[in-house]
Amino acid sequence: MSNDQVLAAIHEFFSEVVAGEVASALGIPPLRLEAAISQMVGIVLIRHILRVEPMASAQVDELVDLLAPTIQRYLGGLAVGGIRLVLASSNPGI
Amino acid sequence: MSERITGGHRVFNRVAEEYDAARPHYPETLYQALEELSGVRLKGALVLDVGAGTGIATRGLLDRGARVVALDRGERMLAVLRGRTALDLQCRAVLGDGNALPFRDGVADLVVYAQAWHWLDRRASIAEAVRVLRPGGAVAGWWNIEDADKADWLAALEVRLAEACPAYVGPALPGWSMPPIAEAMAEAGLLVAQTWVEWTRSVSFFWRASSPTCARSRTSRRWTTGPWRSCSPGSARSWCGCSRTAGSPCRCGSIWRPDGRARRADAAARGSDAVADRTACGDAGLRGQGIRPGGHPDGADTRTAILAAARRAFAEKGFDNATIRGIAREAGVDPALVHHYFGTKAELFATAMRLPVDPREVAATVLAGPREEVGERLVRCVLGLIAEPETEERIVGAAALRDEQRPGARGDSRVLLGGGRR
Repeated sequence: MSNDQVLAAIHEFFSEVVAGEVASALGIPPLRLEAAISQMVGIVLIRHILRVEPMASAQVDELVDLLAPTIQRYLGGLAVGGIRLVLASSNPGI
Repeated sequence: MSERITGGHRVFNRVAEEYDAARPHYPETLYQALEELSGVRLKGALVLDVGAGTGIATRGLLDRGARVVALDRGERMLAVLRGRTALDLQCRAVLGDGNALPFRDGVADLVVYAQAWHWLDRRASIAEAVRVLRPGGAVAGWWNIEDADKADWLAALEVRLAEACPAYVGPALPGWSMPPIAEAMAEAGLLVAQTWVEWTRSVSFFWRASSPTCARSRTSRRWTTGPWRSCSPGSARSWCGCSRTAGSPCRCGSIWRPDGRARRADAAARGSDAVADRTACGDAGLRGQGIRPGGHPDGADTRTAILAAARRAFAEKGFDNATIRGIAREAGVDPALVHHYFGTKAELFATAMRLPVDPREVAATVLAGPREEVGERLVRCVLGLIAEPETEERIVGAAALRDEQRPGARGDSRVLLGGGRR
């Protein structure tokens, strides 16, 4: 397989097998999902196919610590809320 | 005042760094509302930020041109504030109590409590604010509130917070109410105005001090979501890379079982033909190759044997040189049976290299647990999955095949790495 086919296959693996149902369950917009997938595709390429150090022999826990906040930022939902502002003055103008 | 209130400043003071990382900042619209309601222009105004903490509001006020005196009872909170804030003529950080302001009468344009007034004595604090305000000045309190009615997952989060932390009260739970600052202000003879400044923000903003930080800092975990569900140092290391003991909840949200029997029973009950073909990971639900049990006279799995032989043959000889006949011989079956089960050589190749992963089960695993940790579960799941020798072999195996060895036309790549769902 050529390089782009390998990448396409890995990408497909993530978008269909790993992330597809997760994204639809969480209502993650396509661009955010794609951003998360791009990280994971890159990791698999560097770690398992090109085997570039120090990525190839890094511990899973170490990588989880490093990557999870970024992936979380992409996949996190939107919190809805507000700020209750209560204000008082002796000034009759307010 | 209750013990909770008097000791309140110490709660956050112990975890000042995490507090600063996790607490959301205030939007521009908040400061606009503050100016509109108070009639005080922030530019050039002297603002007392009472309960300033690490200075989240302090910096917002400074950015809009105010002169700010930041007051807090927590020395470590103020240390973070000093580290984060340019302290010059525009800003002072003072250790002190909001119930007894260390300031002269009539000096301030605004006294503000940014998510802090609920820690103070309701009468003493407002009386002190009124004392230090200049005529026409204003006192203001504000609180960030999630609107759990607008998002199911927020409501669920509230429930989990309450379960993990018995002292927690929040907007989605019965018994929660806004601190009664409006009443306290009215009792002090002030004219009260209120407004609601809406926002939406990315969840991760709340959880910037999320899993990795919290795993290192159990203290902060305890007051945000309760004790970290640790994976006990255990007898097994699972696919998710997490050591744990049988039956204990794993950080990835799944329950590990030593033999995977329960999982297989579940599969049978669902009428699924997906049978976990391994135990260590089969129990975690990521095996589901669709192998039919019991097809071989001696009880072994014919299809499994054929696929294993095919993987070996393709890896050793490449696609072109591997033969159905040779694979059948390796597997100890008749070549006709290989064709019967898997069709052509290209189809056999595609099936053999297909990752033993069921998307539904991946999704179930990744979705099982708090949404604010979905990133961690996904990364852990993927790294665990790919690190399985069998998965890695197939990915690398597929990648290693040269163009001329690759069967069929374009589009096979999608078959190669597609999921195991049938």
